Amino acid sequence: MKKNGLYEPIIWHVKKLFLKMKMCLFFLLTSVVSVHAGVSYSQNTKLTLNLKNATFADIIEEIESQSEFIFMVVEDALDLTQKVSINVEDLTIEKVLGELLDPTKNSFAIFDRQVIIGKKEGDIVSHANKPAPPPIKGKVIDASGAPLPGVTITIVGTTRGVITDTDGTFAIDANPADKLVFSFIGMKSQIIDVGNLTRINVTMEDKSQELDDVTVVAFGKQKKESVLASITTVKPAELKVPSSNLTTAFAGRVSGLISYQRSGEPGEDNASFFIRGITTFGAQAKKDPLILIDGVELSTSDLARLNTDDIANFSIMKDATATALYGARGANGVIAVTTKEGQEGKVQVNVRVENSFSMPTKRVQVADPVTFMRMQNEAVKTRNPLGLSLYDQEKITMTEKGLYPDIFPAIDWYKTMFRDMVCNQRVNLSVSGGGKVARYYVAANVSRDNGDLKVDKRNNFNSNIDLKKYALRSNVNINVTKTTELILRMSTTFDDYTGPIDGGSDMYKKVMKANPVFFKPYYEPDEQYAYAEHILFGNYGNGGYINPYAESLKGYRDYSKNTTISQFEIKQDLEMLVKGLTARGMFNIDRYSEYAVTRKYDPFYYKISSYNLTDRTYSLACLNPTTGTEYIDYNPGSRYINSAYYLETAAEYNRSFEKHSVNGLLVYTMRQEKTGIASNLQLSLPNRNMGVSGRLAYNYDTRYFGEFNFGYNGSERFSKNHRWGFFPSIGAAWMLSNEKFFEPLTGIFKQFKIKATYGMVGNDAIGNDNDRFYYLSQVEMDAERDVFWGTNLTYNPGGIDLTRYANEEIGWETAYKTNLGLEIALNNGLSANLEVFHEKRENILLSRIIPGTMGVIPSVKANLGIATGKGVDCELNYEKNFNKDLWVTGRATFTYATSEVKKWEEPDYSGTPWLSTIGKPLSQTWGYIAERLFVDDAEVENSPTQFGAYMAGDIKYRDVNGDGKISALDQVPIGFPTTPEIIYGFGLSVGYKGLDASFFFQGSARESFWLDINNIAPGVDENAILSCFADNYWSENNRNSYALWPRLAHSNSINNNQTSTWFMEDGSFFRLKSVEMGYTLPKQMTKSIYLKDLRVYVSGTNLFYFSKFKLWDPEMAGEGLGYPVQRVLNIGLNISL
Amino acid sequence: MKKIIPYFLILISLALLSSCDYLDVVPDNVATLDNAFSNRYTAEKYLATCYWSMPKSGGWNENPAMFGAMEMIFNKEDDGGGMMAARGYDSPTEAYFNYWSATGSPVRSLYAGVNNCNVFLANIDQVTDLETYEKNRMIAEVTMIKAFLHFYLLTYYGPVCPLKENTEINESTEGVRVYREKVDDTFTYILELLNGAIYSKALPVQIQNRTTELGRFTQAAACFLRAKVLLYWASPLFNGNTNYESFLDHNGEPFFNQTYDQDRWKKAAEACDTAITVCNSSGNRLYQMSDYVTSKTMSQATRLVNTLRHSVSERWNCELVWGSTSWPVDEGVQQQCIPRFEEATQQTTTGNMSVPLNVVEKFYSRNGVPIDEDADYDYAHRYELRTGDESHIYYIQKGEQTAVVNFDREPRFYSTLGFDRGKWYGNSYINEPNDDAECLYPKDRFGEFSSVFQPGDYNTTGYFCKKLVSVNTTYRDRNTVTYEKYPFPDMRFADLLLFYAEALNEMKDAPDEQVYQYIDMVRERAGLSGVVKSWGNHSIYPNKPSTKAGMREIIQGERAVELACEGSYYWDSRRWKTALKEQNGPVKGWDISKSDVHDYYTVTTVYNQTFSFKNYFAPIPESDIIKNPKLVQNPGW
Repeated sequence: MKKNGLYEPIIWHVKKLFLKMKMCLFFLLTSVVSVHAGVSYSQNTKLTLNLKNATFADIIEEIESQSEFIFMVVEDALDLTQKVSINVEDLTIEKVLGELLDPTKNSFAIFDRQVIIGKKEGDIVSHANKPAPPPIKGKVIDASGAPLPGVTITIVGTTRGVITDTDGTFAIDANPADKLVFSFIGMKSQIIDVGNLTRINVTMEDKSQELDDVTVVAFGKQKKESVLASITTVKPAELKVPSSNLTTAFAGRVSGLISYQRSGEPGEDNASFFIRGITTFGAQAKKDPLILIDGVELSTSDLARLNTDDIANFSIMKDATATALYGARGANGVIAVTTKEGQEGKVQVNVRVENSFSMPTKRVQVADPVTFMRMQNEAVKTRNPLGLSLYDQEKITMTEKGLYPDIFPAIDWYKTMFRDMVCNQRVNLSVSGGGKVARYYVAANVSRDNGDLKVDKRNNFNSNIDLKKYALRSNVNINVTKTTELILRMSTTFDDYTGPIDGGSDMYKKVMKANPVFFKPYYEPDEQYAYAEHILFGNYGNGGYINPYAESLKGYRDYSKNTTISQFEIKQDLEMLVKGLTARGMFNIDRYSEYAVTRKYDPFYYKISSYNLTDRTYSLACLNPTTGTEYIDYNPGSRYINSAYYLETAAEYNRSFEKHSVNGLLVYTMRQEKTGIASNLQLSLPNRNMGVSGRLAYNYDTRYFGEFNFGYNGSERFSKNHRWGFFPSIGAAWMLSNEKFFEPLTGIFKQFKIKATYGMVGNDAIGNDNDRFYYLSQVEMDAERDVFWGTNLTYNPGGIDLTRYANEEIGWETAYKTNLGLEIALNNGLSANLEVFHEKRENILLSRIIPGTMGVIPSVKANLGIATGKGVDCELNYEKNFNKDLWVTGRATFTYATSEVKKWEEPDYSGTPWLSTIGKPLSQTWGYIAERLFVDDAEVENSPTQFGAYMAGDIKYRDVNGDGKISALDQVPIGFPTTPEIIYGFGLSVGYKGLDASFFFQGSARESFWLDINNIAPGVDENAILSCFADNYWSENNRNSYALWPRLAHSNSINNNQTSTWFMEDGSFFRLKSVEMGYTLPKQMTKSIYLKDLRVYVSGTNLFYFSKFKLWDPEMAGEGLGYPVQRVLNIGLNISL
Repeated sequence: MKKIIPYFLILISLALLSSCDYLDVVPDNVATLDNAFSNRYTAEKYLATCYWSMPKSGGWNENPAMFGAMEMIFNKEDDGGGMMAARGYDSPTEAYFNYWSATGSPVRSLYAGVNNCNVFLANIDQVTDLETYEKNRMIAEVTMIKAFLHFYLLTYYGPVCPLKENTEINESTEGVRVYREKVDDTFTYILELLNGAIYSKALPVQIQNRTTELGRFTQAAACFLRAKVLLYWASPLFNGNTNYESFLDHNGEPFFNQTYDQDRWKKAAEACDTAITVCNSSGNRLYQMSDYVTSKTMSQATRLVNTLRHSVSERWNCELVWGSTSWPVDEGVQQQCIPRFEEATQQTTTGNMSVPLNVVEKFYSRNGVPIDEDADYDYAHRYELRTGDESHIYYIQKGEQTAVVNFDREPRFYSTLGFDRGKWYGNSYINEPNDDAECLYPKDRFGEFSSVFQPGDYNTTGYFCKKLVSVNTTYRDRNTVTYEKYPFPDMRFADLLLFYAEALNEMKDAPDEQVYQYIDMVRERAGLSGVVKSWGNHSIYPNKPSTKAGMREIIQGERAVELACEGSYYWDSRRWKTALKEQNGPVKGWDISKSDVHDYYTVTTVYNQTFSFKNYFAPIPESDIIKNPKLVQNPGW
C-alpha cells in the first residue's frame, strides 16, 4: 500500500461505510479537526515541508516518506497534478493539511496513520446513501489475536476500498469474482478471493515473518518451495534457553546436528557440534561446520555469544547443493545465521530480563575420610606386605571418632570449596523500527555468569568465576535510491572474566586429588604466627600436596575478549538494465582480541608441629618459608589479536516467464585472516581463500526443479599445482502436490515434494594449522637442545630441528555428498522432512606409517585416506491453532550419522585383521577384552602374560590371537564411537489464552566413553575415592571377580590401566532438556500500564536424565571430574513497548 | 540475459587476475634445511643437535644401566621406567627405554640421532665460512656420534638395522621396511666409522677452547670408544655365543657368529694400549690424592675418600676422557642421593637412591680382597651390631652402633656409600669441620631425620649413593641446596685401564705382570696393595691371581667396585654373560621401617630380581614389528 502510494496515492471511492465508521467519519469530516482517542500519532508527529511548485502527488509522497502516514484520496476529489508551494516547519498533520487544502476546499480526515482526502464536507454521506448489495463483513486481527484497526482493504483492479474500525471490523461491497487485498504498514499484504464468502476473518502477519516463506541458501534466499538442497531451518525461538551460550541449545533441536556439551563452566561451556557427524579423521583437521553470521565466517565462540532475540534466521546446510558454493570450507556443512533487521513501522522495544539459579546436574559421590585411609593403606599392603602404611591405626581411630580435628582432620573438600547454587543474570534490550528511508535494529545485552567456588573474605580479591558478557548490535538499512539499498551492520561483544588461575574445571579436578586427612584447608594462627599477614594454609610433608583451598585463593586470572564486526553492504537493483537482475557487494572486517593476566601469591603452607592434648593448642611449622610469598605476583597470559576481512560481490538474476522460473547467481569472494601474535613465521602469514561460485536454478510450473551449483576455490595452503579446486553439484526435485494427478490427495496434503542432490565440496583446513604449508619443509632454527659445553657447562650453542619434510603433492580434501529427501506437509498442521544421506570423503590427510629404523621423527603426511559417512535426519513439526485461545506446536528431530574408514595406510594387519581400522567408524576405540578379575595367583601363573606387575584381583584380558601373551595385537574394536551416532529430541508447546507451557526431551545414543583411571584409581596418589568403588572392589577378603574395581594399587597398575572393556561406559542418555511455563498479561491490563506486551515465565534446563551410567552426568563422558554440566532454573520477564 | 554476460565476464576476469599472487602468501627466505648449513654458527647448532641425540647416562629413567642390574634401586612406590624395567616389566608393548623408535625426549629413537648425523654429513660441505680443519673435525665428531649410536643400539638390542644413509621420505611402503643385520657386520661398520674418525686425525688431542668446547670429542675419546667396541666384540655375549644358534636372519643364517674368535681379545688389547697412550698424551690419567686441593686440614682417610669422589664428580678432572654434557649430573640425580644431615622442615633432598646390600658386600675389606675371602674378616657375624670406635673415627660416628659389615672396609666403600651413622664429610654448610672426625652423618632409622620425610620418599636399603654427589654440592641452610653440575663420566680412564687388564688376561694363556700392572694402578690409587700381594697375604685363595680364571674373577670384581653406581656393571654382566647367574635372587637392605637399632639392622628382601635369557637384549617395540613385518623379535620376547 505504502509503496504504491509513492507514485499514485490510492484513489479512494467511498461508497458505503459501516454505520459506526460512517458516523465517525462524518463527524470528523464535518468538524475538520480530527479528534480520536487513539490518534496520538497524528498529534505527536511533526512535519517540515519546503516544496515549491510541487504537485499534490509530490507533497503527499514527501509526507509519506517523512512519516508513517498513508494517504487516500476520494476519487476525483483532488487534482493531484495541480502545482502548489508549501513551507511549514514542525507542524502537525492537521495544520499542514489545513494549510494545503484550505484553497482547494477539500476536506480531510485523519485516522491514526491513515489520511483520507475528500471533495467536500458531506461527500462521504452522499456515497453512503447509494443503494448497494449486502456488504461482506469481517474482522482483521494480528498474530497475537488483537483486533487491528486501520487496515486498508481494496478490491483488486479497482480503486475501491475501506479501512477497518477500532475493533478491527470492516464491511465492503464486493462481487464474488473480486479479490480483496488486505494491507497494513509493517505487515504482509494478503489477497483473498471473495467467492461465496460473506464473512472474512483475516490474521495479518508481521512482515518479518515473510522469511518463513523463503529459505536462506548459500549467498542468497530462495522461495521455500523451490529449495531442493538439504537445509534445516529452526525458529530462533526454539533455541531459546536460559543460558548465555547459544550452542547449548542445539542438541536434539536441530535435525542433522550431532551435538553434546562436556562442561558447565562459564566461558568454557561451548557444546561441540558436527553436521551429520564427522567424516574426516585428520587428528587436527577442521571437523566442525563452517559458521556464517550474516554471511561472514566466524568462530564457534561468536556463534555461542549470539542472542536468540537478535536472530532472524537460523539454518544449517547439509548437502552438496547447499554447500558447494562454499567450496573451500563447506565440506563439514554450514551453519548460517542472519540477524534481525528493522521493519517499517513504529518503534518496537523489547526487553527481556532473566535470573537463573544454576547447580550441577549431579555431584560425584566420594567415600568418607576413614574409608579413604583404610583403602589407601590397603592399596599399599595388598601389593607389598612390607610397604609402609600411610596412616597408622591411631590416626584412623581418632579420625573415625572425630577427636582433635586439628591434628586428625577429616575434610569434605567438595563442601569446603563449592557452593550449592549460584545465580546468573541476563538482560536483553532491542529497539527496532524504521520508515521508508531507513530501518534499524539495535540491540544490547548483558549477562553475568558466576562460578560456584566459595571465596574467603580474608582475600580482598575474588577468585570465583565471574564472567560478564556485553554485546551490542546495530543493523541499519538505508534506501539510498529507490533501487539501491545500503546496509550497515555493526556488532561488538566483550567478555570480562575473573576466575581461578587454572579455570573452574581444574578446581574440580584438584578437589578430586586432595588428601582429606593430612591437613586442614587453613589453620587459625598459633602464638608464633599470630601476626602473620597471610592465610596459614595447611599442607603436609614437603608442602607438595594439593590444597584446593589454597589453590583457589592464591590468585586469579583475569581475561578480556573482544570481537568487533563491521559490515557494509550495497544492493543494487539493476532492473533498468535487465529485468530481474540485482547486484550486491559486501565488505566485512572483524577483529578479535584477547588478553589474560594472572595475579597470585605463593601460599605459605603450615603443618602442626606439636599439639597439646589437654588445652588443644598447637604450634605450627611453616613448610615453605623460602618459597611462599605474601605479595602478589603478576604474570602476563595469553594474548591474541586476529583480524579478518571478507569481500563478496555477487550478481543475481531472478525471473519468471509464465511457467518458467530462472535463478542465476555468480559470486566472487575473497577472505583473509591474520593473527597478530603468532608462535612462528609460518603461522604469522595470512590465511587466504578466494573463489568464484555460481548457481543456476530452474523450475517449471513449481512442479519440476533443477539446480546446478559450483564453487571454484583457491587456498594459500597448497602448492601451485594443487591450489585450486572445482566443486560442482547438481540437484532435482519434484513437487508432486502441484501435479494434476495429485488433486485427489490435496485434502490431506498441503505439500508433497521429493528431492535429490549430488555433488562435491572441498575442505582446505586439513591437518594442524601449524603445518599448513605442506609443500615447504619446516626447520626450527632455535630448537632447544640441552647441550652444555665448556668449563662451567654453560655454553649452549642451541640446536636445529627439522620439523616437517616438504611434500608438494598435498591438496584438497574432497567430499562427495548424496542426499535424498522428502518434504511433506499435511493440512492438519503436521509436516515432516525426511532425508537420507551418504558422503564419501577422499584425500583425507593422514600420517604415513614410517618404521623407527628410518629415524624420521616428524610425522610424514599424505592425502591417502578415504572415509564414508551415512545416515538419516528427519524432523517432524506440528503447528495448529484450534481456536483463538488454544494453540499447539510440536517438534521432533532424529539424527543418525555413522562413518566408516575405507582407506588408510596402515601396517600389515593380515595376521590380526581386527586391528585394521578399515571398515570401522572414525572415532572407534581399540582396546582389550576384559574377561573378569583374576581369581587367584595360580590363575595368574597359568594365563597368558599381561602387563607390568599383576596378581589376583587384577583384570584378566582375553588373548585374542592366542599367542600366549596379551599385547597390542590383542586389541579389538570395542564399544561405540566416542561421539554419539544418534541425537534426538522432541517437545511440545501449548498455549491457552495468556498461558503457555512447553517441554523438550533430548537424548543421545550409540556412544561409548572410557573412565580415565589415572584420575579415579582409589589408593593412587591422593585420588578421592568414589563411593561406588569403595562399595565394590576386589579385596583379599572379598575376592569378587566381577567387582567394580580391581585389586587396589598404590601406584597406577599398568595392567589395569590399559584401554579395555572393563572401564568402558555407555554414554547414551535421555534427559528432560527444558521446561518452560509463561503467562502473558491480557492486552487490556498491559495497555493500562502503557506496555504492548508483558510475559512472565519460569523455565528450567537439564532437569533430570536417565542413563545407565551413574557416576556423573553422562553427557560429560570422560570429563566427569571437571566442572559439571549445570541444571538451571530460571525466571524471566519479557516486555514489549 | 545477453546484457549480463559482460558483467559476469568482468567479474570472472577480475577474480582470476587478482588470484595469481593473492594466494602466494609465503615470502621467500622461509627457513628450510639449507639455512641450517648456511654458516659456522648454524653448523655448530646442528653439531650440538647431533651430540644431543646421544642417550643420556645421568638419568635413571633414561639410562637403563642405572637401575637395570639393581646396582641401585628406588623404593617400591616409584613406578618410573627405570625401576619398572629393572623389576622385569619391560616388554615389547611397554618398552621403558624405547631407544628404537620413541619420538619424545629425552628417551628418543637413536635412529633419529643417526638420521641427524647423516643429514649433517651430507650437507656440511655447503658451509663456506668454516676452515677445512674445522669442517674435518666436525665430520670426525659426527662420524663418531654415529658410531656411538650404532654401538648403543647394538649392545641394547642385539642385531640392528644400520642406517648408513638416510632413506628418502617418499620411499615406497616396501622400501622403508628393512631387515636386521648380523651382529658382526654392524661391529665391522662401527669400527669402520671409528677408524675413519681416528685416522683422519681431525679430532683434537686436547680441547683448546675450554670455555666453549669442553664436552666435544677428542682423539682420546675416539680411541677409548674403539677399544671399548673391540672389547665388547671379543666378549662372550658377542663372540661365539652359541645360545643364539637358532636366532636367524632373513637368509636363515645366525645373527651371532657361532665360533669363538680368540684373536679379538688381542685386537682389543692393542686398541686399549693405543687408547692409553693417546689419553696420556692428552693429559688423561688417574686422579691422584695430590690432585685434590683443599684449604681444610684433614686426615689421610678423609682426603682419600674425597679424592676418590673427585675422580668421578669433579668437573673436567683429569680422569674424565669424555662425559655427556647434554644430561649432566645436577639436581636431578644428586637430590636422590643426598640424605638429610639434620632435622629440616622441607624435604630438600630425598635420599631415594638406594644401594642394595648385595652391592655393598662386593666392596673389599680393608685388606683389598672380597670380604668372604678375607681370612681376617668376621664374615659370619657381619649383620650383627658394632659400636664405632677410634679406628673408624673418620668412617663411622664414634660411640654409635651400626652393622659389622660397615666396618673394616676399603676406602672405596666409604667414598661410594653413605649409611646410618656413617661419616659423610662435606655437602652441608656445617659439614666441613676443622676436625673431620666431627663431621655429620645420616641417621636413618625410622623416624630419624634421614629416614622417611613424606610417604613415598625414602631410602629403601639404608645405603645412600655418596659417589654421585659432587663434593661441591652444598646444603646452604637446612632447607636449601645448591647443586654442582658435572658431566656424567661415560668414559673414565680407570675404566680403560681395567679394559686393558681384562683384554690382556683373556688374550694370554696365564696372567702376568702386564695384567697385574694395569689393575694394580687402579687399586693403588684406591689405597690398596696389588692383587698378588693382597690375595697372597689375606685371601683364603692366595693363588687366585695366578690363574686366568681366577684373574678374570678378580678383574670382574675390581670393575664392580671401582665402577660401582656408574652403570658399568649392567653392561659388563651382560657381555660376560654372568647376569643370568648373578641377577636371580633377593635384593636386600636393612629394615628401614624400624626405629629400634636391632630391628633396623635386620636383613630384609626388597625385591626378587629375575633375569632370564631373553633379558640379555631388550625387546624390539611391538609397534615397530607391526609397522615393519620384516623385523624379527629378539628371542624370548
